[in-house]
Amino acid sequence: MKKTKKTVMTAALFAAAMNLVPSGAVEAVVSNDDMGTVFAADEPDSESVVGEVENDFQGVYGPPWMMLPESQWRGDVYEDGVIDAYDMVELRKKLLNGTESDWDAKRADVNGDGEVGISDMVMLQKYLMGQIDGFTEKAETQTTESTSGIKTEIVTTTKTVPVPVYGPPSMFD
Amino acid sequence: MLDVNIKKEHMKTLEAYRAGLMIKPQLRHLFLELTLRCNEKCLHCGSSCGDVSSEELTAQQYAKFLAEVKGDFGTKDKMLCITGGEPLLRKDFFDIMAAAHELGFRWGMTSNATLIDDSTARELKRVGMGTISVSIDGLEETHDAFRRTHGGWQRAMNGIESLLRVGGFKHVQVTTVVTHQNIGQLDELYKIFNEMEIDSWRIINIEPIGRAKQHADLLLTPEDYRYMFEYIRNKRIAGEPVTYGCSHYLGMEYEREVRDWYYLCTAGTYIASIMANGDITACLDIERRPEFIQGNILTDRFKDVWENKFEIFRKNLSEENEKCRICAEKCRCHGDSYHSWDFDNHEPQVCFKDILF
Repeated sequence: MKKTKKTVMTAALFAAAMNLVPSGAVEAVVSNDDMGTVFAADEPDSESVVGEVENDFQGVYGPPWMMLPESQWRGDVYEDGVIDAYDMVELRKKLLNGTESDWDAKRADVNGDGEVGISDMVMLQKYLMGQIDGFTEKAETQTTESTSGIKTEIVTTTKTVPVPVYGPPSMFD
Repeated sequence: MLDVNIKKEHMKTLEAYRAGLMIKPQLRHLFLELTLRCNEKCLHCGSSCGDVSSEELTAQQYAKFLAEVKGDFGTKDKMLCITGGEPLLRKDFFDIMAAAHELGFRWGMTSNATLIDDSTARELKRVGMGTISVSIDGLEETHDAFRRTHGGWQRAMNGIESLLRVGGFKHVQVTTVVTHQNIGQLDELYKIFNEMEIDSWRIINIEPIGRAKQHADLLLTPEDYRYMFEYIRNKRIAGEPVTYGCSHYLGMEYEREVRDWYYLCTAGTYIASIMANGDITACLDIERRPEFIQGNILTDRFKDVWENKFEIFRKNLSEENEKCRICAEKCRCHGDSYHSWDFDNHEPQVCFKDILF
């Protein structure tokens, strides 16, 4: 049976909850050959996974991410519960190699236009640089030029309204 | 066990969400029962399928209906769930699914896989099948006896191998219906499936519906249930892609631990189904009573039915009897799954109170 990042994270979650020695367990699973394609070399060290589970990744601890409000997972392309530079790396991979699933695509569709493209990278970059404070359906960028020739880029956004997505995923359940 | 306080918090959010969903449903899963005919005669079949005559819609009628659904709802976030009977028994199966694929629908199928070889698997890929769930209900002898089909196990396993060999599907799942007779075989089955490149193994209990009602000896005992849920949880602790199905409220101990989501029966709120004859209902596992037929796609516009009928599925069953009404868990279980509700006695046929919680 195929192991995925999700099954590994689930195991790590249980390990943390049961106060086992989770880092070793997680490392063992992560170092499994089958996981080679899931955890690429330029991603975080496996040692940090448990800490993320315990401290940050409440999405695993609670409902699966697809059950959380959209505002809590859009842009979290790396699926670790936080939006940071790793998501930019992962998004670049998706652009080059394509997305693996529909949910995968939803996470990567940062601007919510139904497609994964370069505009998603632009928006994610702006978010990481603090130029916008959230992902919207469409952020509008307006460039103005003062009389002295200084260009100013104004990004207009509205906060994303959370849209809860509950229920079983689109399988057969 | 995971953190109970966090679970409670999430379930509270879910309760509020469910209340909203009852008022404003969101069509997501549209089940199409292509036929009642089946080349197997399973003892647990909820639809009593088998060697029976089946009133069926034509490929053209499906194409017209799906075009209408696309026009009314779009195809984004919609999934067609193809079921039967055995859908592949239809000679025009690939015509129907090619039309659905061309319209842009995502689709998956439940099948016994006995009719799948490499050539069929390639055709399934061609017409856009994304996911498939194949039934394996025990080791060979048990499976064949349970499904009353000599050689069924081997043909099903060959079918799965073909699907994996051809590849390119988003998800190939095996589903096992656990009975009192096969529950002791889970470990042996795991060893077999673990050697295969399937994406997940779904373990579900036999339900007291359809033909299974006549086979009380197959139903699980309280000890069986506890064993099954503990088995699933232990596999997930080990990082295996094993999951329970969507049915039943499991209590604080097992909710979110044996599946990736909390219990929420979405019959009639996310799910609508078209029976083989075109009748519209919520979930195909629900007892087939006249009052649950909300319309027929040959005479009614599906959108009108979905938006203006279906009230019977969008209510709290837990208000219908005293036992549920005073139960502390009713805000989380709401009377449990619609398909296992006893509509004569107004009580759940499956309730895990005093078994799991």
